[in-house]
Amino acid sequence: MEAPSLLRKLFKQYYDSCSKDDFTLRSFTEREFAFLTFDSEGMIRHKSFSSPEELLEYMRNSPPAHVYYSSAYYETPAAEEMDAKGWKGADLIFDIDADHIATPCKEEHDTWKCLDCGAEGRGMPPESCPNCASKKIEEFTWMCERCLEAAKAEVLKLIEEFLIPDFGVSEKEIEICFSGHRGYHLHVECEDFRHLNSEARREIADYVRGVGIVFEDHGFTRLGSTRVLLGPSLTERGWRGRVARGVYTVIDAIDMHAPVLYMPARDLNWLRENRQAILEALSKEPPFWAIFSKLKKQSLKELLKAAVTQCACNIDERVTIDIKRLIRMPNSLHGKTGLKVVKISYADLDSFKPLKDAIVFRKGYLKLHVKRIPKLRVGEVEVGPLEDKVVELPMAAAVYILARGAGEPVWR
Amino acid sequence: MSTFEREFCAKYPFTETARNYIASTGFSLEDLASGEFVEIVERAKARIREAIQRGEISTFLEGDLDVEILSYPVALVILGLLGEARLARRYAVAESKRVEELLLGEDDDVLVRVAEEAFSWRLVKERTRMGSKLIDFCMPVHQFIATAATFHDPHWKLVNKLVYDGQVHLRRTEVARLIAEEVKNRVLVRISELTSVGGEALKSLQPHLEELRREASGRMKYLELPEEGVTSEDAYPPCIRKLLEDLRAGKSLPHMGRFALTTFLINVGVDVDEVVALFSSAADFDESKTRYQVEHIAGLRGSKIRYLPPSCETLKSFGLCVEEAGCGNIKHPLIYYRRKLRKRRATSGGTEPSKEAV
Repeated sequence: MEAPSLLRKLFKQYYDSCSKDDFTLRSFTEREFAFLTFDSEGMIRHKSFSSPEELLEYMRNSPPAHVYYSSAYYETPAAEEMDAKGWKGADLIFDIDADHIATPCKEEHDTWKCLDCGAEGRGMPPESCPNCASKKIEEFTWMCERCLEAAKAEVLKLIEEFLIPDFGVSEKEIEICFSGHRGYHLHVECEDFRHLNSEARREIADYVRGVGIVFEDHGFTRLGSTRVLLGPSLTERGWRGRVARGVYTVIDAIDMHAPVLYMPARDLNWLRENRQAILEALSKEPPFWAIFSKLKKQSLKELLKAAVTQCACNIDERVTIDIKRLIRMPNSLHGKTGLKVVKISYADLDSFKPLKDAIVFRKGYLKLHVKRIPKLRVGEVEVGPLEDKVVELPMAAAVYILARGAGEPVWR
Repeated sequence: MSTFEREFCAKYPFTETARNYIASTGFSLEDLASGEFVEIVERAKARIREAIQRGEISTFLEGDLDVEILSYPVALVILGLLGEARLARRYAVAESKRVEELLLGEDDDVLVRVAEEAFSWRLVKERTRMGSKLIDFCMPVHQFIATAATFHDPHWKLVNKLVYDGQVHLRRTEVARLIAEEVKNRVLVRISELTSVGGEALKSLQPHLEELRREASGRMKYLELPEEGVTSEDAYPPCIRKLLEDLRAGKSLPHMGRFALTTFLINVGVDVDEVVALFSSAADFDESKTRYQVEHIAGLRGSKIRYLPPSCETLKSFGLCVEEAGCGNIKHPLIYYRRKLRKRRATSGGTEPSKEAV
């Protein structure tokens, strides 16, 4: 038995053990469902089901590798033409993926390869090959605790810095899902946002990403023609206070892991030498922004931009903007990891351990031939790095490696 | 209803109070045929005419207020029957300007009332300190972005507004502008819904329609195209030719480039299939998506508004203008095309130019 058939069998066992209550959704019958299977490439789309029971029945009969549902609500979700579906509205969704966050550990566990010229590298894959500029880049990415922690921190930032204080969303309207691989999805279950079109959602996405900020609109002005600068205070709300606090954080960390500031050495040194005085000036009420009068105009702008980067939330804006997105189904399995898509409440997020809590296959061992893996941790098990070895591993780790396509089962 | 309230209806005929008032008068479109309401039709025509000629609409509170109030829905019906997207747009913009100017002279409470009655906006008078300034209003984020997202000015971006507790804080002038924009949107939607009014009403309006159509085409002629869509590529302006060349060479065009090319081709009479086929050489071609977008631009879908190509100025700002080509004083790609064709016809002894004077 080869990896796909084995995974299919295991996934079926999982869906057999599920109950229909695991697959409830708001407005269930208005959603489109889609599946990827283990044995063919194409996506099975435009499915609709009358109840979670019927969906579960379908998944038991033909166990899918991936299960998705539409963020949109349709009059006729099963219509094959998008136009004929009759769009009624869509959930507001945020996608936070470790793929989009630069974590230092990516150098250790992620690699990429150019399919055109064969160039290889470590870390985050480039947009185009640095050698031949081809865009055909194959990625070999792996889950890791640090990456997932970084993604989780970003989710918390989104909720605590933006959704609750600025957008006025309440805790109970927020639903979080671990994606089963490298990130989290966040659904805002609030009627108000349901009918917004893409353009309006782009405004939300740009807001949390800090895209297009005009500093003058947030209180940064020069007094007349002088070099004296006015600006918002740390305690103000919205982006005004956020930029101010961002500058504070950047200056505070300027000797340590501060973001790279592109400015003349003279200005950078001045910031370093006057760190304490600047922090005090910013904490005053009103803050004494004029302390930055010594900086070149361009350097100040650079500092403000760094502050925005510091405070912005790293979401994949395409997902938020798309009003017809297919989203991974909660409690389904991710076909590329074998992990469960887990719903988590905001209160439980802090203690949620994806590489432990999302494990489904806990029993038994499996012998497999590993092609190549970096050092991995799945559940309590740590394996790798390994290359071209036959090993016997606990089921969860074995399933993960098979699902990544990095190994084949070995039968005695 | 008090005169004060009726004045409110005349100024803001799209509000709930006005709609209820109109319903209470028992007036229906069928009545137009009777000739009894000739004043209303004339006032409705005057609204449209003013929009055509000056891009503005006045509000008359001195005469019969009922005529003023009822002329608004009748004007929309006329525009719906005319089915001229450009005229509809011009009218909608003029209505929106009218409303904005009126609102700027009103008390805060009137702004709140209009926003609530017309669009169910939860606009609230709430004084907030923003640095050294005071801001007077706030409204829910989702209602704000639903309208403001179409503005291109960066100051209208949500990220540049003071936002907290689900509320966007806005100055008075901004609120007036936002309401005016939504009036424009709703007017356009309303007109597009009114394209078929049957029976006697239609018959009685027919002569008026012809009259307005003539006036509009006389005034807005500069955007009209030569008869018969003989599309001759060599009469295309340099920017469009460049985009076509790039596309055919398999280069990927920026979003604005695609938009400019598509709108231009559609407006000079190239049919949807041909335009879609052109894009098939693009690397990321997806026929159904492309067709959807082209049909949208051609006004066959969605808003039913056929889009015009961007002006030369816009093309310049997006770096799509082939400046060295030197188009002279021309301000719009379609004007370039029209002049070029006309010149050619004149030299080849065609009889075309007689159309110019209306």
